[in-house]
Amino acid sequence: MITKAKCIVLALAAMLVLPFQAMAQSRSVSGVVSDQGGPLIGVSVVEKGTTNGVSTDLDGRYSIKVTGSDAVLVFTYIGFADVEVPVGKQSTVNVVMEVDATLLDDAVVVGYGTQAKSHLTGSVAKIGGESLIDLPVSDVTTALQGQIAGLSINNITSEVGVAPTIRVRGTGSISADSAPLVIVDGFPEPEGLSNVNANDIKSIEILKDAASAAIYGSRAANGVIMITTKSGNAEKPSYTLKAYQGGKYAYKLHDMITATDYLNLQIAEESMGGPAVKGQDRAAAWIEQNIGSTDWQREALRSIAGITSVQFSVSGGSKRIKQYTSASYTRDQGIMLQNQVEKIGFRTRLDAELHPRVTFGYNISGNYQKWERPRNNFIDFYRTPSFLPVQHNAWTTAFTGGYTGFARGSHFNSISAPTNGTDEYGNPIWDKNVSPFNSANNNPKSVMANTERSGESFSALANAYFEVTLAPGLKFRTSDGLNVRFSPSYNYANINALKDGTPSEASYFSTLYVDLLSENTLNYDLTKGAHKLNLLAGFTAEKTRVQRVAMSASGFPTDDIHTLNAATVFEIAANNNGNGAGTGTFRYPDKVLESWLARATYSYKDRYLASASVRLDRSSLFIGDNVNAWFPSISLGWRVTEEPWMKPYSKTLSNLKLRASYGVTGNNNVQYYSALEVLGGANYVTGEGNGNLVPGAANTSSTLANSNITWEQTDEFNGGLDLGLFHGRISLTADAYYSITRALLFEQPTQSFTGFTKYWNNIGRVRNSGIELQLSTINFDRRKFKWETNLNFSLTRNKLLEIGGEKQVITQGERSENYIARVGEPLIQYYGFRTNGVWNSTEEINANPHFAADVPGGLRIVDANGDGSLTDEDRVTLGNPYPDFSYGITNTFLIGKLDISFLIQGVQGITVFNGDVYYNETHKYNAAYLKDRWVSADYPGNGKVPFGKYGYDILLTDYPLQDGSYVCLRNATIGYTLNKKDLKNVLKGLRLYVSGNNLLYLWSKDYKGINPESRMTGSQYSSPMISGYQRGGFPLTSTVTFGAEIRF
Amino acid sequence: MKKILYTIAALVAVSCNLNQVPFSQVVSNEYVKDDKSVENLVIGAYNSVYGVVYSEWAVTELRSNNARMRVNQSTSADSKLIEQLDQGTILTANSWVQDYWDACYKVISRANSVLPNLDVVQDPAKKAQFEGEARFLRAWMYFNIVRLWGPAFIVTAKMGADEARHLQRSPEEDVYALIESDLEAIVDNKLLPEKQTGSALGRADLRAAQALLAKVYVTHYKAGETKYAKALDLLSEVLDASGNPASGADLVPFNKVFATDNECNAEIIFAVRYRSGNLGIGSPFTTLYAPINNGGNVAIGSPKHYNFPSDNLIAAFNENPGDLRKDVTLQESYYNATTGLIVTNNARYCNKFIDPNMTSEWDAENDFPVIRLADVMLLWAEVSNELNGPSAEALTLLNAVRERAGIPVYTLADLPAKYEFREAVRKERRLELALENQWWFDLLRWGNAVTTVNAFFESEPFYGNYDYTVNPIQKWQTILPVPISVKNINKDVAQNPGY
Repeated sequence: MITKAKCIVLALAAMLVLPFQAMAQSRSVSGVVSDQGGPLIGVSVVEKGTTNGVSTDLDGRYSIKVTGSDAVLVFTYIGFADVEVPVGKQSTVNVVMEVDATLLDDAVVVGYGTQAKSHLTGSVAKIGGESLIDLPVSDVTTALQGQIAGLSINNITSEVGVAPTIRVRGTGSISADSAPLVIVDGFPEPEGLSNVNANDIKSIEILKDAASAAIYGSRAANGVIMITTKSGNAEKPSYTLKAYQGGKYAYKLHDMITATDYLNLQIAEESMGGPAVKGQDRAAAWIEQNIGSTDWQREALRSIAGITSVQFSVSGGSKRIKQYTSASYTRDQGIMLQNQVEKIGFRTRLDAELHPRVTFGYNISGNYQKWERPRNNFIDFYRTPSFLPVQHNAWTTAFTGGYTGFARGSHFNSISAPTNGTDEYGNPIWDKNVSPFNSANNNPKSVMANTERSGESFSALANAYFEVTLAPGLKFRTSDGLNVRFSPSYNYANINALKDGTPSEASYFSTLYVDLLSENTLNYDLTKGAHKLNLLAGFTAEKTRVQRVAMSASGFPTDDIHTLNAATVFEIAANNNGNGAGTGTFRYPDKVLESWLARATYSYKDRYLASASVRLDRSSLFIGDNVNAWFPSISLGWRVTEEPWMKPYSKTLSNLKLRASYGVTGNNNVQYYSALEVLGGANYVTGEGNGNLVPGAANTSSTLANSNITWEQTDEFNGGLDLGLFHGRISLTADAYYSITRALLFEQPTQSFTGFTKYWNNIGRVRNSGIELQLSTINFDRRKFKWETNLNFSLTRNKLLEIGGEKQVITQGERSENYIARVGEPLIQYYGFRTNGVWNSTEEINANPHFAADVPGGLRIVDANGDGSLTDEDRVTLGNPYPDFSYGITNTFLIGKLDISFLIQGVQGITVFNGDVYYNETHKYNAAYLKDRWVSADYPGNGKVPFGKYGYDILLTDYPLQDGSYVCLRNATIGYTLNKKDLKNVLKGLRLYVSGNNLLYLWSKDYKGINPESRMTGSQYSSPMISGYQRGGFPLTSTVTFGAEIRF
Repeated sequence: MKKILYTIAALVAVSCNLNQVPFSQVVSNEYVKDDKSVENLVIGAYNSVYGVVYSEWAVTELRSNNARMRVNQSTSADSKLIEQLDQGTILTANSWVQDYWDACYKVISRANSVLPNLDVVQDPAKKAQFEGEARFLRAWMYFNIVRLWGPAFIVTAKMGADEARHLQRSPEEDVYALIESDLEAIVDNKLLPEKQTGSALGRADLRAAQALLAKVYVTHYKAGETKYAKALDLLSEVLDASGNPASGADLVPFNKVFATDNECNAEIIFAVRYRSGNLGIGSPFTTLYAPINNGGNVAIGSPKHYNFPSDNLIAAFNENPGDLRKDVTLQESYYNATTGLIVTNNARYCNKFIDPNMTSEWDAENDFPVIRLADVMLLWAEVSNELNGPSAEALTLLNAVRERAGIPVYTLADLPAKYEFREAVRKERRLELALENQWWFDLLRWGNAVTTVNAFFESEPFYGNYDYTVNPIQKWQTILPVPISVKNINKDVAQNPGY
């Protein structure tokens, strides 16, 4: 404690001695600099053409000695237009500075402060809130898709209420967790952007390079996304009402064939030498002929889903008190039934000047969210055969012997159907004991009707700051607050809901998340002549607490009450039969992070720029010497166009800045207990009769503790240039980066004979490199017609350099499919057997290396190592889940009062693993897998498509790998804006628009699914060592909305 | 100004402790302090046995001629795994093989976590017992592993990931040496009480260790070797301690051996014990084995219908009409109270571990026997016959089992020579212990697994209806592949031949 207090005092003292006296000159000029709101502190006042300069004090006063009567004073201040005043004979020059709208936009939020864009030396991308508000999505992350180079966003499921994955600088970033740090108004938000309303966002900054992110130290290795919400202004109140209403539909469905079509295919195939038609398939088609077929995919979906949003905000204030308050309501339906999110948000922000030297403010937001998601995956729908009706009708009731209500595969088990041809008298021969759909599962529609899965989230963020100007240019700021979220979720299933015989069951989970944060900084601004210096020193402390309640129960006497008080049987936590989560309360160790940080930013003549920062993080997640870690950074910039010798070219080359940076960032995203071995309950039964529970203890985790684990650190170099041509008509930002992550932190598989299957380790190094381009052009700029284009392009490559002295690490997914991390190659690659078509005959199999399971019609595996036999040694790498490049293009047209914009986004050269291949039904009813399949030696199809799942396990081969590249019209918007004059002063403004998302979506012919962005992310797929697996994703959603914004 | 600094200092002070502790779990290196805490680790080791027996049917009965896959080309997610195990075309990626492997080694790891803490135990009797229990569990698991996979990874102490990565499999000889040294230590030093009673009923006792050691001897050694002969002495001691049935003591009626109201009966020497009542220690077998979609007529919930009895097994029972064991072992149909019909199509199921009173899924009462008296009796008869040919004493034991089953007894005239007696004992073992995960190990021990399975593929009508030919297996297919995950971590680990 003492050392900390000492440090604060030392830092204070260091800053206080820095101010200096201006050098004496011939003549003295003084005055006051102010804006509409009052005096401005820290305005730079420089005598033009010299290095002579001062800055204003707390009352906005300055005093400067100037050399001659023709002296000109230049007043500059971030966010304000420069003012030049010839001094003449005046001894007092008072200046009122005006906010420069264009310059204001150029203030960029960086960690613990802001910086003029022109002076940035790192790679920071900024997007204004206005680019997001017209997009018809309820989640801000989705709205960012395709807008920024180096930011990749993947809609892993089309369900609403499920946040997309978000990655800064490539999916190749490797760590325990690759999600970037999201900071909302200074607070880390583990839930990402889902609680922020797009309308409240003033700007989003993405700190892409390590030098910019290093000020966030141990959590910044995956990049930092900073959200700044709107603040009030000093004008009289202005009110904005914004609303939109829209509809969504499924973009594309699987091409599933009916049971009748499948029978016809079987008959045709039998005549081609294929397997004999099965009674079950005849029976299915026969039933279908009697009752018609069901389009199960349609049963899962709404024909049109709605999205509604209303937001009201008021902004305004006086000279000294400014406020912004907003309230919003959004209801977003997924295209699948039972999928909906409702959000209610409230936010208020106040900034008050208590004294010319003291500013105080708070920022409070409260959010309520309610979500509902279907219990079934979409695959349950498209796996169900078309002959099965949703509900029994009179015919099926009679046929199945009395079943009513929802139909179930098992109701049609052991039936008899007249499908065996006809006898000599022409009477049908009945096929006995056939089971057309041998599934114990209930039909998915009835599962939907009998289950509920929903949740809520109550969250509040309250933060207050207090800023004192201690001396001219020296400010102390403390910002303290808390972020609380309580999120319960509820599940209920009626009796027999999932399968015949399943009991009624319910579960309740809740998480309480509390984050306390105190940030204390000293900020010192100094301008001396052509030198500008900003110093920042700070101390932050953060404590995060997570507490969970989990309850699982069953045996509800009635399905009328769904809360757990009505349950008769509670499942206990120490259930080791491998099912159920159990009942209990769980509290994890609090996470404490305390940090010291410092940064210096310097510029000379606004031409030569330099910045350096360092952060020391201390985390409770690590043990012993691993507690501390340092994160330094340095960056340099050169504004070439500010050089006098560049002036002649300024008409063409209006801006050129070269940047270079180096920084170190870290990742402390390890799970609780990864360093510490802990014991849980592991009970057994002994004693007479039925015995009694005897308590036992064991390490019940599947993860082996490793006390040596430490921070993962990333060293990154970034080089960039900002180029402006023809007065900004063309501007280009280009960045290239090269980073090495060392002490790679991830959960590695271990030999299970240790008693565990995985463990956390720091075992290697990965290199990431890439290029990002952001090009903006103003193609036309006339009074009535303006056309702008924004293009972004990113290319990322990663390479594994070292992995714990091993050559490779292989990880398995849910179908035992393999992913390999091999030194010298892309971080994750698919790994398995390469195939060469299908086996055509037993003779062919016997004449070649083969597996015991091989049969004609199965995949023919290549003897890759050429040793004449097939073993696991024949597995090879089969491609990777990383795109070659990705891009986004936005075109905006302003034609009078009309504006039109469209955003095209795409990803090229990505390979996905399509897990649909696993299901037998895929090979029976999905047309994409039936075409050209092998039937018999004489009819081998195209020789590439296996017959069903014959032969060797196709999930272990290259067969499920498909090209996941796509290009889509992510958004198109047409708007019409009327200003105050048009509205005869009744309103301040009115805008009407129509917006559409995903109206067109194209993908590779090779791809057999319906959503190339879809990914599995749960259980083993949360491992960073597995990527690119998809199964059963919901269809892509296209959206059309109509909206209006009224300002008054 | 001062106020502000004090406020900050206070805020900072609140959040400065970097030593955060878990609230909901116990840190293991602070845990062991007395007899009780070591005993808890022993119980924790027993607990991991649940994971082993859970999937044991799949690597034993399913691979033999006793059980098979239920339907051809089923849509069930497990169908491919079952098909592989049933037909001997097991892939290295088979996740059930992986699960069984993981589970066995988990028990070993937990047993190993007990042994270094024995010095903490004050009570010498308890100290001996804890050691005996840990070594019994470890030996039992290695015995399973060596029989199913051959060479094994020998782990006798806590092992870190780095050491594990470079460890190689040890030859079968070394594995057997470890198993024998563990069990011999228990038997020679009487580490375990002869018979567990009262509240300890269900924990391993001396008889269990002796019976297991006898099985190890007869598996690992041939009839001419000393240790094979020693097995007979061990088995005799077990029989004596269990109220020697050869001396005329009554056996527990067959239908009461597995009854939930008669647990730990005189027949049971060692069983994995379960307790229903939603304590997390219920038996999974009712849910695993009861018929699918039975509408609550056999068992509640949605059972898996695994361990599906083969036609071949039913035929073997039918050779002796009136065998009381048949209905206890398996049922060929069940009555559907909803429709009033008897369901016969693909309805047969393993009935030994069905608890009709189960009230929530995976939570049945039935214990799962690992070693029981009839097993020991038949083994005694078998070993005695191999050593000395048919004898009256061996015949008494064999006949006692048959008598209980309600089928005709043999005379010495029926089984005049070693060969006839051997065949009779083997047939009896199959029927007596059917679907108790013993038969596959017996076949491996006798060396007739390949011929038995191939004859089964030929005769079982089910395989004739297959889309493609089910191929005969070869000897290498009787040994499981080392799971792919092992080779994924260390590709230098030797795979079993053929895979």
